[in-house]
Amino acid sequence: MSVGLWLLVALQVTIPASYYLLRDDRDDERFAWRMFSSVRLMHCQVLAFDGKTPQERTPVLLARHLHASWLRSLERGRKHVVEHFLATRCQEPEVHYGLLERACTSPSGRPLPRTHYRYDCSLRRLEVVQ
Amino acid sequence: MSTVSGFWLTAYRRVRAFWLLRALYTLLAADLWLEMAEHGGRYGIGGFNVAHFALLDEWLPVPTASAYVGLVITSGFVSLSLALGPAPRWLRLLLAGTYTLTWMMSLHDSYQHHYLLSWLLVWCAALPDVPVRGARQDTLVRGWGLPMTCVTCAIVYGFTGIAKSELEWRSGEVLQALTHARPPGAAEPGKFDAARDLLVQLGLSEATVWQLFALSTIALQWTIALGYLAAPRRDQDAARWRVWVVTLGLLAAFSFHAVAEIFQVFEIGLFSYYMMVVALVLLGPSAPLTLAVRPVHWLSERLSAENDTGVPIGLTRFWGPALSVGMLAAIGHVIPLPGARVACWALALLWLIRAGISLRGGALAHGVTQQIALNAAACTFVMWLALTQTSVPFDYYRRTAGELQRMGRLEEALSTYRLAERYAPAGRSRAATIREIQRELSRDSQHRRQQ
Repeated sequence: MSVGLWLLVALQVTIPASYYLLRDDRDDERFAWRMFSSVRLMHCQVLAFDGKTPQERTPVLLARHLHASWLRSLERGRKHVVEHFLATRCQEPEVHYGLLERACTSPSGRPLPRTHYRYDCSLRRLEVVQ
Repeated sequence: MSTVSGFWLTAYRRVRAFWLLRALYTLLAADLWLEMAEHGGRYGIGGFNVAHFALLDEWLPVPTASAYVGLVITSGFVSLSLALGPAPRWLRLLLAGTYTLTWMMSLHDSYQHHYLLSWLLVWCAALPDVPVRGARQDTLVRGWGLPMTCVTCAIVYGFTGIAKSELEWRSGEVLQALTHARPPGAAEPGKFDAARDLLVQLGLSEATVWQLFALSTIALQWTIALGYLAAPRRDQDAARWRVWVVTLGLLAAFSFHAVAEIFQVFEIGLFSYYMMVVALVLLGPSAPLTLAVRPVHWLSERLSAENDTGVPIGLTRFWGPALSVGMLAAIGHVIPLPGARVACWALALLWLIRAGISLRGGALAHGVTQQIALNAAACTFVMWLALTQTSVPFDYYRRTAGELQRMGRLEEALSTYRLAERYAPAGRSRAATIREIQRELSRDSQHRRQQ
């Protein structure tokens, strides 16, 4: 019993610690106890595009397609939401790529590098380019 | 027994378990009904959803407003019922499950304090269900529920301090953004600007002041964490250093959450209240907690079916449960939110089964049956108050309508705004918005005819 309980403690420590140790997705702070962190307070804007090719693209009016809550998730760079949303764009005719650009500023207003997401409809794979 | 394994069997005063269950479940019921239910309209809009885990996306259908609100209503009822007691362990586990599902089913809800509450609710299931009569007894109880609750809180505050140790926080940059800081002399100063100006007048540079605020916040987090780590053994081993560490933790928790609430720095619903209540129960001295049981005990004695004060409660063995369960099922038809009917019928069925099982227990269980009936009646009444006599129905419909309008779904927005208007509190009418949408729809229709 005691060992099991200590394992539970270890699990509770490992989950938030993995945010710092693995660093695979800096934007995903859900289980890291990072309330009101510098990441959370970044101001971001997103633009989405339907792509026939990675170069040939038409803008998507995000506000008409998604609830504001999902827009915020895209702005926060929630990768699962980005992936799901871009995957839904593949259902539109002649769309072979779903593209999203995310531009952020730090809490003090300093511009941060843009993030580009590209979802390949045929491979069903998301690529993230910083 | 070693200190390591013995930690989970630390003895503590009964009153802490009593208040932890009662206070946490009461707050949770309020949170679910008054804060979470009104956001239900966003679930299922456009058929888009992403759950917290990919596995849930595969297993669960896209959650609808009815499913979410129904789950919230059910969880709120169970929570209040547990707060009033009795609190059977299976029902506590059921609540931990249904509550966790409310946030886990969708990334619409990614508040970290909801995740924290899920942990706490699981640990609450391990606490002893101390009745009111037993809460004032001086004898200690043992168990891992309370130590684990302390450890979880320590981990949370510890990591919160780590998160705030990054450069942007330490420099005060984040705090300035959070408190909407403005330059000295601005017409609309930020929340901490008065304190900043005072310290600047004392000779500190502005940058130093913000660093000081930020470092104080980090120090508070870690003081609270240490307090929680020292707290479990406080009743068993009240060494002076331990009492000091725990008391400092309590003061730090109160100052941090009270300041956050007074200045509305974080805007995180009831979270500050949860953490103040948990701190009071786990870090506070036991004497005031025991004193606070007195009025509850007095009230409980008056209501108890077992007492001999001669106060007739007017409920028979069968009609009491039948009436209260019937009322519970019926109230679902009065609550103007999707999912309410199904939730109330499901709850009524569950309470009927509970009452039925207790009836089979014979004469001794008679009091239990009446307790279940009274519990259902009280929870039903409070639920009716919370979901019909507050701004919850209005907020639910106006939020949903606002989003539909923004998404260009004007006809749906119009009908939803009309629903909101039915429940609009004084001064919050949406009549102007309704007229605006009607004009827009009429223009669209004319435009289509001309084409």
